[in-house]
Amino acid sequence: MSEIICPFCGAENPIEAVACFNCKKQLYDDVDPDASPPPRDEMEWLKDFRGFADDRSAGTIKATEADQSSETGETTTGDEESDVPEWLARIRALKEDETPAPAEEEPVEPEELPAYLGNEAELPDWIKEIKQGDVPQPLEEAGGDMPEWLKNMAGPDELPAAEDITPDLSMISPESGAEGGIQLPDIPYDLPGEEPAEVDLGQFTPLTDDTVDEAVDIPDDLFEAIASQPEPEQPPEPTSAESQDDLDWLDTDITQPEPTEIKEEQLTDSGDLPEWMFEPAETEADTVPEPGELDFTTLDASLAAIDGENMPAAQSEAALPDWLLEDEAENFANQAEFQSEGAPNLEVGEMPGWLHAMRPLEAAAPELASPMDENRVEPTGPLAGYQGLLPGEGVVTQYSRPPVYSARMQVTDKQRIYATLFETLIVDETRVGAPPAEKSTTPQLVLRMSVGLVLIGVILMALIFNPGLAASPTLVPPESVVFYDTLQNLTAAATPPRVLVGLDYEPSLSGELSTIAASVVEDWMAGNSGLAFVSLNLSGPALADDLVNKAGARVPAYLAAERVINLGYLPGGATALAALAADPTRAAPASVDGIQAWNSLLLQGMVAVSDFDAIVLLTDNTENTRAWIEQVKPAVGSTPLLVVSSAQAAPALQPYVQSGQISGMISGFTGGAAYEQLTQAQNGSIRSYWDAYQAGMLLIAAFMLLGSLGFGIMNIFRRTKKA
Amino acid sequence: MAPDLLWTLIAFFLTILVLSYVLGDNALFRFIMMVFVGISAGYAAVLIYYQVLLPRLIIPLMTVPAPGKAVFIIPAVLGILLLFKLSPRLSALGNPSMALLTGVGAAVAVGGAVTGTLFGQISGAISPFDLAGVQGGGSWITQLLGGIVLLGGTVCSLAYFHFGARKKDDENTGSQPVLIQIPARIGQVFIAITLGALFAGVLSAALAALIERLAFLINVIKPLIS
Repeated sequence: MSEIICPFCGAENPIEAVACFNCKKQLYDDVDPDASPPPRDEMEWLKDFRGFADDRSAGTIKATEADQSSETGETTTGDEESDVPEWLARIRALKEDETPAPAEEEPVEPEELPAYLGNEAELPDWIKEIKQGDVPQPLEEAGGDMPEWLKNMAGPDELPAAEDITPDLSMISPESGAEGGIQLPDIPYDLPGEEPAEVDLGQFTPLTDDTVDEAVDIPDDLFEAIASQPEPEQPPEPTSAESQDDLDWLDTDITQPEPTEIKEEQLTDSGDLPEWMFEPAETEADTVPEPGELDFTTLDASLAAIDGENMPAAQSEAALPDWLLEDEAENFANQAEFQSEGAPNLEVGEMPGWLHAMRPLEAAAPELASPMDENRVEPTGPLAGYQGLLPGEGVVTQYSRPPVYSARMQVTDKQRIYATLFETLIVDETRVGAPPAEKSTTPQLVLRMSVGLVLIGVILMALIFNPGLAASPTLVPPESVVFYDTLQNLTAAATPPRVLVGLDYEPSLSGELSTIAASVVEDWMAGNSGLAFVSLNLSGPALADDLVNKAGARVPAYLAAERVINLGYLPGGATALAALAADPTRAAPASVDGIQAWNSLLLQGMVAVSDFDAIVLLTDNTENTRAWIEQVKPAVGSTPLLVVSSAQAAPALQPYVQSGQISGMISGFTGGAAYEQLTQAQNGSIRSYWDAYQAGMLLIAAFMLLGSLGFGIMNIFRRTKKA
Repeated sequence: MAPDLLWTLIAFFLTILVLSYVLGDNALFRFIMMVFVGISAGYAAVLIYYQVLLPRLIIPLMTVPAPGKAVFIIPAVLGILLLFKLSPRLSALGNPSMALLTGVGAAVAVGGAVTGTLFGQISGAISPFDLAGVQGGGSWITQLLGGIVLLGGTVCSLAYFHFGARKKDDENTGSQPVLIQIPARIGQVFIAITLGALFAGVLSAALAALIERLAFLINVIKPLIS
């Protein structure tokens, strides 16, 4: 406080001022105007005032009670009086003079009476009269013409006991009740420090008093009308000492109405009551609460009935069913809790401008819906009479069309230039060109057919006419010579040799291999050799039979049934060959005819592969030949391994011939012709094919040469044209 | 009609149908290809049953006394498990059989390759330089030159398959050393000759088969004409 207001003219003066600068009057009565203002620390009155203000701001009950007691003239302790400043003491004295002497009745304990009851200045007149002993007589005693409904309301026989009319707080949690769950506006008992467990009917008694006095604003004519009514039969004892009980009759009226016995005529006979007072009685007649049950809705309806403005709402609430009333009571308690917990003095937040700019709520929600009026009662429709419903018609009328945004992209000139450039770059890629003309396959087909037909014709001519133009090979490969020498040495021995023949070629190449092998097999047959066939191919056994038949036809003296045994198919590839090299009797125990091969006359006494005099391999497969060399050759020791191979496998087998792992080899028609040349065979199969073979090879060479020249010339012309 | 003549006529017409491929791919050629595939599969199934399963598994299981049956039960179980490979969901049951086959096959192949091919080829590459054992009555000079060409071709061919390169600091890509590049080029010539020889062998084998088939046709037709 930095200013002093002049009590005479109201002008503001500095705190150091002694006299008002406006009216020139002394601001302090006991201060010498000539004296200088007291120092700041010497202003005890201000300190006391500040201390008083601090005590009030602390909000302690004791301070409040002390203050109240001081205002009501109650005695204080000596210490407190000694601390009271002089100006306050004068004020107290002045108040004591103005305050009438307290009544002789027993004073109400501060803990039991609300604060406002202690302040007589704030009490209404009718309460003051009660306190002063002018207790209004019961209506029955007073007038005798009390209306029947009021008699019934106040009749002690019909009034339940105090404990019976204790409000049913079961549906209100203790916490909510303690913290103001039962919200009665401006009830004096709703003071800090009140324990919720102490809430009883007595706490609600002043409700009527307070409601009448402050919140509900009951008109004075109502009290006058009530006071003019005759006394009830057994009115409550209106003792000023028990002022709380003085209002029980009104509390009872609120909590325990007897609407069933209220007659409209009685109310109208009462005379001065306003007309709207009859309506609650009619509505209350529909809902009769149970005795001892505090019906908040009834209370609310009664209060609303007193207020003329809320009459329609009270009517509608009275007409609500019980379950809805319970919900409303809960809402009532929740609202009270919210109001008691809420901080009423919070300042309204102010949104800064930049934050408001970031929240363009108007863009998302063009028009915010107006807050719903919870007290609004639906006037029409099937939900008529209900409260707190969403206003359907209002929403429709408040609806506005959403803003329309343009879907057109807004680009700058620079972006448009870039887009155009990008479009020119990809326009060629997206353009589908005409498919290239499909080249005709007719020339290739004609060429292929011509080559084939020419080759076939030439071969046929050579076979048919067999001119004998091609000379037999004069140069014999050394491996063919070794092959021939080995065969001759074995067949020239006194004991016919026993040869293991591995037949390992496909039927597709049987035309070549069977022709070559036929000459070799004939020579072995001519030497009465024993032949044991085994094959790694499924078709091997059949090819072996065919080969034996062909060769045997040329050697009639050879007893193929006794000297030839077909051990059949040997499954397992290289593993089977390893097993055969290790133990041939278990690897190939029987022939294709089911005969125990190793017990036959041909193979009797043989237990290993090395017991054979030679191993002859008829093959067109490099891999299988290598498996024979790798798996069997190490097991046979010095036993010669002779190979009759196809021309296509010969180049891959040549290294094994060079290394000596293959003792001798005949490959292709060339090798067969050389072998026949060595054996001096006159009617050899290969010799009959030799002319055709040479003609075919020559023609193929010519085709290759002509083809190379032709494509070379075409490339030259093509390059020249391009150049 | 004798059976041989019947089968000969069948073989004749089948050969004609195969040779029709000269005129391009046609339905007759595709038909005869399917016939060959079917016959081959049927023949293989019959052959495996009569020459493998029956004599080597089924008969022993039925005839061999109990103590010796275990030797045949194991491959039978493994063979049955191998059939589960037909089902994608149960194919895992065939893994033990496949593991056995793969493991044994790899062991046999590796062992044979080391002892049969690797050692054998090294010995074959050295032998021409053994001038004491000149073979074939040739001179030692010829054998020595042959050995040098053989050894040089082998080394150069192996150098061609050397794909390693050393990266230099100032180059982003590496390059082979000169000692590798030159033999690699020479080896490339040897490889080309080898591939040419293989192609010639394939062509020669095919020509021989064609000649044999044409001779068969002539041998069939000639009696009919005469």
